Amino acid sequence: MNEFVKVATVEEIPPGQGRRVDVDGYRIALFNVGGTFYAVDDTCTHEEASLAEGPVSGEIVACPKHGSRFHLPTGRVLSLPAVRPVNTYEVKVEGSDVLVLPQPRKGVGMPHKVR
Amino acid sequence: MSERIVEERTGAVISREAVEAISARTGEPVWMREQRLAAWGVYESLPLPDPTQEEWRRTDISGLRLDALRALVDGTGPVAAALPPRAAALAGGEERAGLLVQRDGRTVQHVLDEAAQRQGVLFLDLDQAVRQAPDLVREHFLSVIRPDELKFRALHAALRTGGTFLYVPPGVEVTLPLVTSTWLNTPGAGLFPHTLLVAGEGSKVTFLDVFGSDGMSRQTVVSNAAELILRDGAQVRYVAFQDWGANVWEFGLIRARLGRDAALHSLIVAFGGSLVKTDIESKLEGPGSQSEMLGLYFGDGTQHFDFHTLQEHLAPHTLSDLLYKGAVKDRARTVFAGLIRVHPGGQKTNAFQSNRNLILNTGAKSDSIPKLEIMANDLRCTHGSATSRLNDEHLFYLMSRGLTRRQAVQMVVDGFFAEVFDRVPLPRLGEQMQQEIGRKIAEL
Repeated sequence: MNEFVKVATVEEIPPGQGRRVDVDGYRIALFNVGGTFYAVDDTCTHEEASLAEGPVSGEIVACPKHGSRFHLPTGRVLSLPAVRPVNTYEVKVEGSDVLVLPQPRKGVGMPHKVR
Repeated sequence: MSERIVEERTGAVISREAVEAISARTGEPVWMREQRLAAWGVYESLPLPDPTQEEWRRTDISGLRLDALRALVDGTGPVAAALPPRAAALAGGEERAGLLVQRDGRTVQHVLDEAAQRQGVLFLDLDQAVRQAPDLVREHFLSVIRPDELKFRALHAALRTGGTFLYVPPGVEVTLPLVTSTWLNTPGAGLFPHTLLVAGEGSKVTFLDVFGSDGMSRQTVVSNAAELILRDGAQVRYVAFQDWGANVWEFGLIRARLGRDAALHSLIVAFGGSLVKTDIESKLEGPGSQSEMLGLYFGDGTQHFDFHTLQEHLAPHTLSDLLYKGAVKDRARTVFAGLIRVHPGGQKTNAFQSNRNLILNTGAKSDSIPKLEIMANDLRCTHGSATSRLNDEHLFYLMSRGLTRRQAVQMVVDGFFAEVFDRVPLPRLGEQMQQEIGRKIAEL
């Protein structure tokens, strides 16, 4: 039902960088990982902090406040203090436009819960 | 077409000129005009709240466009008498001693019982009160709230439009409630209603402050303020009932000062608006004063409610009892942060604080931050907070008795809120709240 929304152009977000975008009431952090774009919830699942401002290394972003790390393709949380994964969003690139589908998908994995 | 007229009537953006125009329109005395202009200066000098501050870090106001707001400076043009039916319904069916209806800061209806008039009760539009009871207003207006506390307070003080002045003389008891209904009609406007309630020594009064609007086509900001002044032995019941439409952002403050043995019963009800950040504060300044603080809120869609409460005990033998209950569904978010502060000398204080939140579905979020700051050494304080999801077992039990899921949810939510309803002896208001809650659940 929801449709992809254009949120940025490829040039606006250089590789290894993130940016916060607001789509349909969702606060989303958009990242460029070596040319591939990923989108996750911008707010860290631990406390109020914008993940878009966090340092990115490879496919991992660290929260700028307390250093919780999240795996961008899956949303999986990799380190404390956060214990819950972040939601992810589908991203596609059309020409030089980056589009996001404003429909959160549950991030995978709870490190403290065996599923 | 009416939309077009509204556009023309309210062309001015908020500015110093708008402050002067509002001041000129109401024909107010020089001191108030100067107060407004001083507040405008403060507004211009203060920054927006810093999102890294504890108080603001859970409420994102980066989407706020204050400079696009239009001031309600319209001249003496005719104000259509008919209010939307919902506005009339909001005023409530409660039996009452007086009613003041304001739209966009201008009074469209005003009645006060003869009995209350004979008792010397003043229940007026604040602009009218400045002319009719200048000394009383000057003594109390902005005596509890300072414009330089926050950018929104300064804006409020500079551009205040309309509002209520309620004065109850010493020893006078008004049995029936007095009601002010504030209706917002102009999309993109800034509305700044002010409630000034002065309850004389040993007086007793119930006041309902009702706010509402239809859904707005663009961002509309309300920065309201209520100053409640309770002299020694005064008993006041204050209810703020808010049902704004979509796109309304509210930055409110309700602050009470209580004298010796005064008793305040407040109830804050919040259902509407896109973003609501309201502070509710009781300053217990007189020995033996009591403040009961109740709150009820229900967020749905993408609503954001943020309540900061303060129970400030400055004198011995004071009592405060706070209960805030909220429900959230869809992607709504609520924040409750409550502080009990007992100053040195606040001995033999009893202070209670309780916040309960019910999360109706995944995706909704509720934060609760109870806090204590105690500088006295002989007192009793409790604070507690609990947040939980709907209990599936409860629902299963109810549904096994033949109820639909919706009925079951409604029943659980009604039961959850009943604790608040039961403490407010205003039956019609209770019904109104239940209807609104039912309406919100219907979309589950």
